[in-house]
Amino acid sequence: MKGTYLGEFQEIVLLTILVLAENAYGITIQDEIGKRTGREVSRGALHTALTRIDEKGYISSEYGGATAERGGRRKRYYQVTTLGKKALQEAKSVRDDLWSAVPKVAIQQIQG
Amino acid sequence: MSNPVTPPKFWAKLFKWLCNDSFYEELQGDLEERFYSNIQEKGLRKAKSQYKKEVIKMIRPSVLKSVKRSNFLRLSLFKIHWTLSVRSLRRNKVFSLVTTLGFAAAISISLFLINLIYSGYSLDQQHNNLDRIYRVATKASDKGETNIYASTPFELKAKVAEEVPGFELLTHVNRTLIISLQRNDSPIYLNGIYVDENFFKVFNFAIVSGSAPDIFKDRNSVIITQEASQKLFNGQNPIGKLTNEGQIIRAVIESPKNKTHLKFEVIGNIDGLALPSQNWEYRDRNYLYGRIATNIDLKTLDARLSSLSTSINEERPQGQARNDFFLQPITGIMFRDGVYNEIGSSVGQEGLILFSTLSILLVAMACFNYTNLSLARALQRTKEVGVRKVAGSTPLQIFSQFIIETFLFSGLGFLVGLGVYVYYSSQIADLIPFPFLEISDYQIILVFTGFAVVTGLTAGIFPAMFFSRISPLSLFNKQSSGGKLSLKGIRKLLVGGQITVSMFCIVLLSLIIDQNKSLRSAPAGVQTAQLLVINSTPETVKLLIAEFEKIAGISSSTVVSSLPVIDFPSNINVIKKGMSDTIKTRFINADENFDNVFRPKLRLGSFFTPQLAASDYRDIVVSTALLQKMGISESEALGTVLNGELISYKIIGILDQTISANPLIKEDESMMLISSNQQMDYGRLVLKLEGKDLDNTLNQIETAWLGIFPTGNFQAEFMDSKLESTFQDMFNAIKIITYIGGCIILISILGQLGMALFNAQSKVKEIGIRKVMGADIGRIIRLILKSTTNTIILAALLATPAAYFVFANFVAAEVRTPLHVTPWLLLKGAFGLALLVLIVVTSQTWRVATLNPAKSLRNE
Repeated sequence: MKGTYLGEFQEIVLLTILVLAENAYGITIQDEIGKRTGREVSRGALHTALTRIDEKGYISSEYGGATAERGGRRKRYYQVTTLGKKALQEAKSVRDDLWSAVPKVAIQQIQG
Repeated sequence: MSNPVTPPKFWAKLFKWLCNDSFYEELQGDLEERFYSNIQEKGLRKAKSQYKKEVIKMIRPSVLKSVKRSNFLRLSLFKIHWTLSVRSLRRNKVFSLVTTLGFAAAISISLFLINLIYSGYSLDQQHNNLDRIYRVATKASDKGETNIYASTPFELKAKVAEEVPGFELLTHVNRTLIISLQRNDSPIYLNGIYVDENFFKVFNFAIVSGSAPDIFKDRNSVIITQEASQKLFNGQNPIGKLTNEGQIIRAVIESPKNKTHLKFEVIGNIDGLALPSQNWEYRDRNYLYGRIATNIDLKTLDARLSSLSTSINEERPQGQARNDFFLQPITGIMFRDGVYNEIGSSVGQEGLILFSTLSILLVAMACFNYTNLSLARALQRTKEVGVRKVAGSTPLQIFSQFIIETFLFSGLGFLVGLGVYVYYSSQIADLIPFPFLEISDYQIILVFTGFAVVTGLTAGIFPAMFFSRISPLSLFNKQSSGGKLSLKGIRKLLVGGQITVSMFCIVLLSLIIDQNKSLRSAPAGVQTAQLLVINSTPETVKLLIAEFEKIAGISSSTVVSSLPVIDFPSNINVIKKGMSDTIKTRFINADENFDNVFRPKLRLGSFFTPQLAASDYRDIVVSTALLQKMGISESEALGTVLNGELISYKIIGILDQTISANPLIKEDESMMLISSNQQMDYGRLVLKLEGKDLDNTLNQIETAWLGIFPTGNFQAEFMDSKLESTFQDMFNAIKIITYIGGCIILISILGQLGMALFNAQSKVKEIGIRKVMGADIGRIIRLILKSTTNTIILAALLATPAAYFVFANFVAAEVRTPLHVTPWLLLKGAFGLALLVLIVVTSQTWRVATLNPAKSLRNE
């Protein structure tokens, strides 16, 4: 967990932020993950993941405007930093490497 | 969307409390947004349950607050808080004085009570296997009445040793040993206990010199305590010295005071005791202690003892008291349930409860006052706290500042209270018959300090919490923060309770003091001035009287069986012919000189004359109360014959006024003087002195006395001074009660002051407006005093009857001449207190009342 290792869930969160682009804050990230993976994620769990990748420097955040349905509280928008994008790239290339190393037969078996 | 629906309040609050402040805005915003969107999509119920789930899932390290301990403990911060506290103490002198005094009063008394409790529990700690040492006590049931006795019948030890397995050691203690030692021609008596050989195996005492087991080698050996040794031998070696009774001192042992519940000045071999005959009724002065075996539990042993009791009871004739024997642990034995025949001092469980309740009550009152007073100052301090908060103080820091401030006050109060305690403790220790450790005992200092800390915490926690919660926003809020002080009703109740308690104290106290006065001035029926009581022995009374007749300063001398007004009464049963039941009455045996010495007034008849021939009757002089009791009219009383058990009595005179016995004993007025027919050779020798040169007369008396007892110790005391010392006990009790009562009263006046100050503070604006509208000062003072006056009246209504009830049942019922309680006597204490409270309160609220409205309304 320590260091620069990117967990699976953290990777998903990072990617979701990228997908949402300008509109990535707690609720939208939560909804997007739910929509795309079918996983119901609690806000608390999401917060933990966000804290971790924030600590690693993969994301940055800033406060946005307040809205009435939030009781006048501001949203916190997240953006993936260059370091974060690099980490994502790395994770992807590791996987790609692994995929390319898998024998064809095995893939056929998986696809069944 | 004007939606009044909000997320579940409790969960929202819980989350706010849990959540780290830096994430709170984001997370709560998200949760709320989700909540409202859920309402539209899934309905309110689903939304709420979802919200709860989300909050519960928020409980994780990344969300929760991190506790910043370091901030609280930082030394520099402590220093700042200390400075602030000292500054605030200086600025509010009245408040500081009032609070400190309140704490001091409560703490000083509590220290005495704590010392009593602590000393009681620290007894007997030096024995090995303390947890296995028990005393066998007796629960005696007789005619439906059950009493617990510390003592057991003498025969029990043998029975237990024979029939109850489970004791490692049993030891007998009997407290009838008295020895005397000659010092400067006069004997000094030592009281002590007889013990057997196991005594020193069960109990461990430090032997100062000699060898303790030596006393079991023969019957005539004793051990004396260090204190007795110092008193008698003044540093010389007492070992080997002989007592008047012929015993040899074999060893010196540490003094039992404050060490053990046992009380002795001397210890002897129980074999030297003349044993009482086999009698299970006789259980007055024997005690049985035992060390139980390690492998036995208390229940089994108690069951064995109780089956032994049953078998013993069955062997005894019907109608005799049933004895049930049971075990009492040695630790805290002073506070065991109501025990008769204690070998040392005991206050019982009631005593323990009384001591602890009283001290908790007092301290609670003082703490409450502090809380009350500091909240009363909330108005002015709110601003201080607000500014500090705006400047960046955390609630925890404010909290710690106020706690430190409270500690400063309670600490000061503790020091003053400790001073009072140290000053009085040696006196108090002499006044009370309980173990009482000295302040030099380091453990008791620890206990005291712990007590002071707890007091400070108790008093400070509420104000500290109150101030730490003040939001700086409320400062800029138009609404007065006075309304924020919650628990107003409870505060009123508590302050009212205080004043009721102190009203009770002052009424009771004034009644007791009046009772004491009236007892002192109550007619005794005899004259006590210039009467000298001399010690004598039966063989020498006649010789002494003959010698004293030669001294010019003595006008008369008499011998009485018991001293009027001072001695405890002796009683006799008499009956008149035709009556069905005997009448119990007090009596004094007196000779024909009684009236020359004591000068009682006769209403009818005459006094005793020397009877030359032996008569069938003894002459008596009776009080009118006795005549009334027996149904004899005054006119036919003279010559009437009353029958006692052996002797018949003929009434020859009627006293104008009854002659009283000891005033602290409840006895009715019926009494009689019985002629001793001739000069008695037993009893008290009383001389009536006359003339002015008393010193010379006294010298002559001493010389004459020493002529008959060349080696004796001449003791003479005036009746009046004897009477004074009779009242000394009562006086001591009054002194202690006065002190405690005084403290309670002081504390409750302070409480009233706090309440009135608070009332005045919260009415500053109202008063200002009233003044502008033309109200005069008198009206305003009345306004402020209204609640105080109401409380006082209510307190008087509650406390006065209660105090009267206690007085009538526990004080007046115990003395010979109960005080006649008039409404004025009852109410003068209450009036005095009311006046005092009103003066104190008015003087303090005067400032608010006279405030210039231009100032108080300036900011409006």
